Amino acid sequence: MIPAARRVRRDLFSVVIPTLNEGDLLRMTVDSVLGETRYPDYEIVIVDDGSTDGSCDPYRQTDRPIRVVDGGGLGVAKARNLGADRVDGEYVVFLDAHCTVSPDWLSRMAKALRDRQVGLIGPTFTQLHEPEPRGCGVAWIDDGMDTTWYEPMEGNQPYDIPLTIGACQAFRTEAFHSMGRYEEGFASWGSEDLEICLRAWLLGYRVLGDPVATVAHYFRDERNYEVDDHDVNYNALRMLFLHFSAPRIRRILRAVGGVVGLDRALDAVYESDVFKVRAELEAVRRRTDDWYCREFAPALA
Amino acid sequence: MIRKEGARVASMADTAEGEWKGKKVHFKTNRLIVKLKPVESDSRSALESNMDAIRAEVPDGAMVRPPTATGRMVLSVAEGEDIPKLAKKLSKRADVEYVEPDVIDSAQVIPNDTRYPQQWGHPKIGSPKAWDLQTGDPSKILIGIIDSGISMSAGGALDHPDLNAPGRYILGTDFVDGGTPRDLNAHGTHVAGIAGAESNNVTGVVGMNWGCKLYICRTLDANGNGSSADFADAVEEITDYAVANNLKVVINYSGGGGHNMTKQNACQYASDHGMLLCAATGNDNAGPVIWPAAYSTNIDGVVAVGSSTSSDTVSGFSNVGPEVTVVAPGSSILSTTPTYSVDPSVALNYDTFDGTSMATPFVTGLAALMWSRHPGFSNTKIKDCLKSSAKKLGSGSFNNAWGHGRIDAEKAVRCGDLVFTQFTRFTALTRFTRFTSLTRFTRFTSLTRFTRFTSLTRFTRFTSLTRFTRFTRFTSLTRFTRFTRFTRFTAFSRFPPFSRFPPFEPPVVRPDLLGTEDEPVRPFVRFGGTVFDPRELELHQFEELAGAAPDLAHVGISRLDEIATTEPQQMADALGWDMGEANELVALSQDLMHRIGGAGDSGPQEVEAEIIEGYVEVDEDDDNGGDEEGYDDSGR
Repeated sequence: MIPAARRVRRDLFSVVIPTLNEGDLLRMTVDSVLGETRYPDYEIVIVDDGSTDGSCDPYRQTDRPIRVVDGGGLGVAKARNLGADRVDGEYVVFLDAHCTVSPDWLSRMAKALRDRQVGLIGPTFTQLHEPEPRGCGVAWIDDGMDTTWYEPMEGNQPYDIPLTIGACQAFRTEAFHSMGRYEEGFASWGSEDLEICLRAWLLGYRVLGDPVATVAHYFRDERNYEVDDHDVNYNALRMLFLHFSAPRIRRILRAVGGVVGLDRALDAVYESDVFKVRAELEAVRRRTDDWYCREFAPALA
Repeated sequence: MIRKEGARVASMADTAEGEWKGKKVHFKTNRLIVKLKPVESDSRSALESNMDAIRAEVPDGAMVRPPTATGRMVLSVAEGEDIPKLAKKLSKRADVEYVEPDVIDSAQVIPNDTRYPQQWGHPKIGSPKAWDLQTGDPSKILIGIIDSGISMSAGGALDHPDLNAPGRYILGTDFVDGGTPRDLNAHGTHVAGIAGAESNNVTGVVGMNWGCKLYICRTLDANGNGSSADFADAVEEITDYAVANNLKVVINYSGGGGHNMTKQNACQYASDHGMLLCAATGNDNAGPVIWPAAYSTNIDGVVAVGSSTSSDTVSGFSNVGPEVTVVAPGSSILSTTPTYSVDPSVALNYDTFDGTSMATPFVTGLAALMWSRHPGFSNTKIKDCLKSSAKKLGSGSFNNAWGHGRIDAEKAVRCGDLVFTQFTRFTALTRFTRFTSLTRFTRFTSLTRFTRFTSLTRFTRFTSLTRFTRFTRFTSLTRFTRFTRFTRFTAFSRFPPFSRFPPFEPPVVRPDLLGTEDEPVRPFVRFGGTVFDPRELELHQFEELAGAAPDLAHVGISRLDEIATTEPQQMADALGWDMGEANELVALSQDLMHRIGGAGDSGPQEVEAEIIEGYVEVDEDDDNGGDEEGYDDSGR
């Protein structure tokens, strides 16, 4: 749903941090944003999606520009949308609660987002405490939908990337709402970040990566909360069924064939509203999935 | 002191800059002015003993000028003495009124060129004060002009009285038709005159730069058109010449048009060799900035120049955008034109033109002055100085119309001067000590860390470029555009902005309103572990079933999956066929579905490919509409 003609404050950058039991990492993230960011006008909205570790409590009453919104177990897509409903900024960035940022992260992304063609932008990512950059943007490299870091072009200007990960995605708030926000049909975790990038391209926007603005993200081996394999499968399939043609989906299913629980996930997708949403997106999209694959995922073209 | 005679400022080896009474002054290093207090009696010996006592305290201390009636005398001082310190010390004596350095008033060099009073641009940007500091050093800095050539006789000799000093104008390649770069358009002669006409020569106009040599290449023809391949060759020729002669070069290109990799690579080439390239933003009445000027934001060595007027506003024709670096005088600019007729509308020898083309050589000439004063500076430092010294033409520090401001010649030339102001330095230190809490250090530390990331990124990028050639879309293009001449672009006319993706009105997605639309929801058909679009399964697409289709339509069956999932017995009953035929039909349908699904061997794969192709066509006709043209590059 689109909040009715919500007024945004010009140039304000709203930093939405969804969190679930992130503990000290949340404090590290907030401190980094407050300590590093040089962009003059920003606010922080923490979406507490049911934390039981008390990590959000220090921010419930503070004189700093921080607000806490309670989600209570919505899952990451809905939690981000809830945060977006509560922001006042012309720009909104969704930042994972286990990141540190570079001083110019907001100013560089705000500059790129002024262009109405740009739907969203992501920074360059590094592993937390490791200087070696992981990359800027990701791409699907085979017909099993495996991803790899996208190869950046040279230069210091933002450039087109196929997808960017959800650890840090920034939008014009208006564009975020008109492209349909994070798709709420997704289950707890997975694929919602890549889906919105794919959707942005198909709707006619560009998705950019900034090779200079840097976010150090904690790519961890194990999550601090339960992630259901079924949900992950379901979300991946949902993304395919929202945007891809049947032959392409067949090809992908063949390539990933044998994944445990895929049939159950397929059942769940068929029972969902996925085809209704697909019809809506098909009616308004400006580019086809064939275009996208030719452009960015040759293995799927 | 104004030298109306126009003599160049003599080098003043015996002067220095320093601080006196809290202000920065220029003074003579070998003398002091002493004003004596009147003595009680009119006793010459008392005065003389005072004078001697003072002279004894001054190293050397010879009398340069004996005391005047008012008691002022000038003493010589040995070399190497700290004049302000000595003056301060002597001032404390009871027998003097004051002692001070012999301060030098700076000469403003006003050139004596006869048409100088008509050149409004130079007083506006403070050129006289800049020329006082620097007029251009040909042993360090070169100016490159890539344009329509320069005025010369048919025989190939420089013939313009303001552009024929022996040795100053180096003739490069004529890429248009070979031979000498003879100007057949007037544009190039005009641009060359603005950047570097002979100056202070009691003739015609004055150039922004008086000393540096000009290297002239011709790429624009009689109509002002030129190719990007020629441009690239010219940039490389001039850059290579400068490198070979151990010079820094500021290249002027008062042309432009669309983007291509050839141009971009040429600019990168110059920039990578530490050179600067000043380019015009274009005259499309506030249209977008043209290329190569538009590379200014991503190539360090490119400076994009817009045009300003005599009242310090942005010229109406000057293009706008984030790429504009600075603006410079470009409206009603008087400069040199060919001595022969190239165009009936252009006066011979001198004429007034408008355009960002005219603004660009002001910046080129100025950048060469700046570099002459600070030959150790990098191209980016010169560019930064151009920006930071420019006069802001409104609020804020940057504006798409005026960039970082209108150039200020004196400030620009002074930019980067070492200023020894001890007190300021102490203050700054104090401030740091006072406020340097941990936070500030933390911030510096992490800044360093990020800078390191960036440079690392570059390395990683190069390495992995090789690995994922697949994604570097421009590689092959780059390789080939280098040698083609396909882009003949007009230098002075309007061009559509280059964009891979045209502007669009973003659609609004409202999944919450679904179901109320007329658009039917069409789920994919599941068959075994795979899925099909219903349109893929429509019977008319299968030759094998052509005979049965009418009968099947009669009982309401229009898709392959409907046959494949039906019991043969039921099928036989409905159609009035015998079981053998029904069995065969169902089996064939199931086989066809497996083949579309790609389960079989290479044979069915072909079937799949055909059907997918058919499907794609249907799909695109369906949801493209007319307005998708240009977004979908399937015809590429």
